[in-house]
Amino acid sequence: MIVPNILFKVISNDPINKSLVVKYCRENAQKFIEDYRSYNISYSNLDFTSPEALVESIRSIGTSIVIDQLNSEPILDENKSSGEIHSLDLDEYVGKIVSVTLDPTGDLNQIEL
Amino acid sequence: MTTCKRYFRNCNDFGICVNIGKKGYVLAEDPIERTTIFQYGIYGVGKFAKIFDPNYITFEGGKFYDVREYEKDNVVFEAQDDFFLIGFNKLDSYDWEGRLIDDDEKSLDLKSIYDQPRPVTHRCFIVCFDGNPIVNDKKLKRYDYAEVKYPKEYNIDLNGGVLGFFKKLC
Repeated sequence: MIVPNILFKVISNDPINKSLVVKYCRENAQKFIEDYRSYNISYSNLDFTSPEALVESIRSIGTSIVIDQLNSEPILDENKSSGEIHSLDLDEYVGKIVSVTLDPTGDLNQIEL
Repeated sequence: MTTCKRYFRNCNDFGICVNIGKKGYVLAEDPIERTTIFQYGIYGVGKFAKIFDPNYITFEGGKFYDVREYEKDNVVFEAQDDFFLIGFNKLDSYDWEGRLIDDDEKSLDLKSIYDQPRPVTHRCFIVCFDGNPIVNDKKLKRYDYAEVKYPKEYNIDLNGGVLGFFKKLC
């Protein structure tokens, strides 16, 4: 999957408990970053060897969060699929919305019979 | 320019390689990557042989080929037409047998494999190569597969599709 550019905002820093509270969203999100939920991140998950490494470690934690945000966005009623079309006739596709699921694993699809 | 899209899908027991390309495309495989033991052509025509061997076989759409003798060899394929080939690949040292399920095969005969005086440890799989065969009322699509186990019964309606049956000789 192509990972979108990520924004993060540190909401608070707690040196005593060695943790941060961070919000994440993708750069082209259609909501304010403030509207997304906050995550508590332990210093133990961060890389303090350089500023770049620190930012990269915060970003790295956010990747799966942002992908989850993207996947959980609601589907607009207007974008709902018209159903499966099983045809090589392109005319049958005209005017219809087709939903396609990407299989990123490259695995074969096992069926229980 | 002749082109070919190649990709590989696997499960833990076997892999499926797919080659979709244009007329004139030439593909060579060395012994390390040549793990294909059965081949099915969705469409197209092409010559296939061991490198430098004047004897070749012609892959044609709609046909199934046993290419076990070419495993771990230097091989070459030349497309005579646009083509779509699916290969069944082994991933380990076990031997396999494979064939297509016939049109008149309305159920799988697993009894003849497993109902033996001594226990049989072979494992059997079906793989959908084309169309939408229906097995036990489930409609399959290309690259769907299932392990089939005796004594469960499997009712088959090829429904115009193509289903491979493979036996892993464990």
